[in-house]
Amino acid sequence: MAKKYRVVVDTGICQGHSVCVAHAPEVFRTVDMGGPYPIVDLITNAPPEELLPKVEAAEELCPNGVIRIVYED
Amino acid sequence: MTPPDVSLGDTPHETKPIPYVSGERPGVGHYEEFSSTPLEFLHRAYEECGEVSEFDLAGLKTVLMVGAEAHEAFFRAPDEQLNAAAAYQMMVPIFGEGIQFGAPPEIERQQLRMQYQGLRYEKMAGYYGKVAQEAKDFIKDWGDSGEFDFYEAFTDLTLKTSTHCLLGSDFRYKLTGEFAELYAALDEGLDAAAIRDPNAQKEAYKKRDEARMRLQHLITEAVRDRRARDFHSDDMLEIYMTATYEDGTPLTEHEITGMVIWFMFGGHHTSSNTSAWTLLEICRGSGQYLAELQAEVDNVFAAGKEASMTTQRDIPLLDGFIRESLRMHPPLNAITRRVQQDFEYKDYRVETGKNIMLCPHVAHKLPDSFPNPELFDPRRPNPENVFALIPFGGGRHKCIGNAFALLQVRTIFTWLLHFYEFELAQPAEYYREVMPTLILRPSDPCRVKYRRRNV
Repeated sequence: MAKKYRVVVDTGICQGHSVCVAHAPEVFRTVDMGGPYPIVDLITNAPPEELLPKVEAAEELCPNGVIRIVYED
Repeated sequence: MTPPDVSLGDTPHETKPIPYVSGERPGVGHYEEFSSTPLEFLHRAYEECGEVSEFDLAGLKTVLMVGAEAHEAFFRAPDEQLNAAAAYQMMVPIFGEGIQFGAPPEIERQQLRMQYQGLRYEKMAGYYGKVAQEAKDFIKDWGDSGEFDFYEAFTDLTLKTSTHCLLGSDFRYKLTGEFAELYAALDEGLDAAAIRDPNAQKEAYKKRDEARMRLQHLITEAVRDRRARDFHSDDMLEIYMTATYEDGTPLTEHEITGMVIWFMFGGHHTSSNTSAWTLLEICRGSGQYLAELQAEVDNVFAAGKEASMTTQRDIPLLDGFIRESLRMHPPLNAITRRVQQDFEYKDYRVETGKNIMLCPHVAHKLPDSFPNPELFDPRRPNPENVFALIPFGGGRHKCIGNAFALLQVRTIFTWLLHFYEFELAQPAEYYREVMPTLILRPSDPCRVKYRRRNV
């Protein structure tokens, strides 16, 4: 059964640890906004289904709890 | 009955007075009680007044806010409104003038960018090996069984791991007892009274200032030695030596020392205390969890990953012990900001000039966020709201070393639990929480027995 999902990030609590970039570079990148650290940016908020395991790893392993997966069924 | 007063226009939001904590004394307010038993005092404030309470630290009006919703409002407020620098001036004599909160915000931002360079995900991989090496050396002379004070042992171990990752192998292996002593003197200068006046005439503060000067001498020697030898390494010292501000100016020797102390302070006692509590909780829970913990770490060794990157996916139960130790026994318990523009939360207004404080130890025991909060449960799920659990603070000023801290403690315990089993040397209730400085620690002595496993 295909799972449709969206990715939501809370940039207000991101500190650029980049664990998400290491796990799912197709979905996440960081951008330097001139602050003390870079901030996560979504390349896409609706990644293809096959990337779900990688996005789940990013969600689970983010040290700041920035990432949330919203399932749509 | 009179009709409600309906007013139009920009009249400020009606607010209620903030509940005031009892037991104030003339002239000093709640200062004496807060200084001598800060944790008990903050728990009492919450029990008496609830989510928002106010007290007086000898003229410094302070508002305690408790709970995920209150924390979120606090952490999301802009720095111009809730200011960290003004509230953390007790760190300035330790780190040095011109460093972090002793510098203008623009300089602090650039210094934080430099600290961040050493904590990037790509840099972490290099730290696992160094921490693993220290853990291996830590246990190498233990023999088959024994007993010692693990609070002291972890203080020593994490000083070595931090120094190794931060200042490099060259500095680490020249590390003497003097460095640890100087560092302890800095630490002892950070008591609850320093929140009010870090420059009071006091023996502990005088020693703190002398230790800061001597540390600068030692670190400067290391810097000059590296420069003389044209030596380069993949550690934080290298970053500080080569970093420049945006206008191209490099860090001075005073600033390099300050950056080192800042990083060490952030990571040393917090990690050593977390290690000590994790060990105590592992001992307390070993009847129920030991076999599974051992299976997890044995798998890490079987996969040859004992000196490389592990995540909570490799060792979920051990990771749960560490996180639950941080919930039950958070090392830092006064997260503070100075109100620089009136701050409104629900029906309350906190006026400019007051401090707002959060206390993880109080907030981590709220049953709404943590059902059955007094139970140590290593399988406890993360709370719904990320702002409920704040051992590392939150928002823009959250500890940027949090991932490093967890990797350090995970690696240490992967090694300890693979080779040894542990048992409390005293009855479980003997190990209490005490907070002689601003850091929560286990009571003294913290003796634990160990016995080698057959692996």
